Amino acid sequence: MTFSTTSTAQPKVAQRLQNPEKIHRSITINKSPAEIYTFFRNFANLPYFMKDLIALTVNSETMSHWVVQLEHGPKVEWNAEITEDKYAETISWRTVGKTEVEQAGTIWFSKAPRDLGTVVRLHMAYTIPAGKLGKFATHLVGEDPDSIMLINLSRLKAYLETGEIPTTKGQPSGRDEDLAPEMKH
Amino acid sequence: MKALCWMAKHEVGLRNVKEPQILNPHDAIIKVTTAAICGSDLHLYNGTIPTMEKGDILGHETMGEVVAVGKQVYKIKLGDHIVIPFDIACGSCHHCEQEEYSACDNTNPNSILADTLYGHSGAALFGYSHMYGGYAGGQAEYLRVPFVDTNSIVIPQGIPDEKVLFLSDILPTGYMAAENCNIKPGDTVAVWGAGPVAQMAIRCAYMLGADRVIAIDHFDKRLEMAERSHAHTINFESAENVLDELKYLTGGRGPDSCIDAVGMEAHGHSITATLDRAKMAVGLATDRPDALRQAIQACKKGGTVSIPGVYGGVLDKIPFGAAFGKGLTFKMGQTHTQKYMPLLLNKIMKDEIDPSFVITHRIDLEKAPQAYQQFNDEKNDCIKVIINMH
Repeated sequence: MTFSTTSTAQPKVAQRLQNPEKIHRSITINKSPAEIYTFFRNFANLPYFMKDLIALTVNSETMSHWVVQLEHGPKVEWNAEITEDKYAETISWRTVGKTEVEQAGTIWFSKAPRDLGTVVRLHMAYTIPAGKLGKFATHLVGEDPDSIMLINLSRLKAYLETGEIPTTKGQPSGRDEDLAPEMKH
Repeated sequence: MKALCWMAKHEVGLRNVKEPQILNPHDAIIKVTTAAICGSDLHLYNGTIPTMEKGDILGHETMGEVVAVGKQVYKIKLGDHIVIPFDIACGSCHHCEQEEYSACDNTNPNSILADTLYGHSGAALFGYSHMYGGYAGGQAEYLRVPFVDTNSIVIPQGIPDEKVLFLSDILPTGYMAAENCNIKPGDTVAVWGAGPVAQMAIRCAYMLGADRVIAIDHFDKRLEMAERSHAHTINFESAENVLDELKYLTGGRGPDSCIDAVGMEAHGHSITATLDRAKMAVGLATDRPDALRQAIQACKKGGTVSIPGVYGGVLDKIPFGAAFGKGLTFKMGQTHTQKYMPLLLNKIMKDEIDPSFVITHRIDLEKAPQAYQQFNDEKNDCIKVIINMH
């Protein structure tokens, strides 16, 4: 099997975006393609693992509304339409109507070698208007869209394989902001 | 609760912090009964591991009593007395299924940092920098243990903490280092360093059938301890030439396998060691690998170099030509602690090994900040420190 990462493998809609930024990432998840597809296709599950996705409303079989609050950036919203949907194989989507972040994406689920589970491949294309670019903290490690999607794939893997997303948020430390009020100097 | 916190290079503070809470369904909280300071904690103390932050709670050799469990904990029960491995594994990824627990895919929330530095992220570690997950460590009165069903071993009642605490790290680490040597009858194993991991490796190498173990260090008391485990010893400060001595002792062949139980902050007075210190001081190098260089030079043709000593970054002047020319095998990495804990607890219960022989200092928590300094500065007398936590 060969995986093309050239523009010909991009979702058709992406070709309509002018000079889009592109993301190609893949990850291997220790579950079957059908299990991962079924979880992912129910968009109500996405906020469980997607970083910064604060609200997702499913409006119909194909339409959904997304609200993302970036950790060090603005809040952005869009409407998305599913443009392709094959059970246990692939899902494609694109934004419709006016939005600051125009995008299109495809996710593929294919059986990995031996007993390794499933290879999940994600391709995305997006454009951010020049004036808006400065609002995104793209210079911080882990805060650019490519890193965010890589983190999201890792979190999807952790959630499906273990039933939780590893975290240290809320643990104690000796930093002043983490101390209980009566312990602060 | 009281916790030992990394405040800056050469500064460990005892601070009053919040108690840990259950954050995820597979978590447990333990009331820590005993913790230890590890030789690898000194790398943090000396500021040679990147991504430590002021206030991070230290410690990865810990045991205690379970006082709370999450909704999806099935094996571990309230009141269980458990030892916690230093590495945090999820128990369900492909690597965990292969018992490669320290290569766990899922436990490091900061995996993107390790991805960037190392290509891939391994398992998170307790109290060992943000690149390794940023989890609060166990030199504290209470500890949150993620995936506790995977990351623990239950200790039967009536066993003193001292006998089983080192299942958390140094005993499995010494055992895996010896196992990585593929020891055959008649083999000679040379061990660089005679610190706590080396002391465990010496005993485990004999347990796995080594004919002779040779320990190399420059602290007399550590070498004396190695001798009590029936190791032949070489003091590299008084020996004329360690490599010649090792050749002589092995009929010119060289040791069948060499264990580097020193890692990134080797002492030594060779030209390369002096250069290493200078480069590290000005930030041109991250590690001082002089023990590793010597182990590569000494090892027999076709032999194995086993590396339990910790390395963090980019190494300079490694004699790779020698390694290639002699066809050496390298085995290394963080220990798959969870894999070895049941086997080694069994050996402790059968009195085949009692790892408490390395303990030289038993202290209360209040004395621990000074103990870090003492462990770092007085390596001759201070071999292993354990902290009574409650």
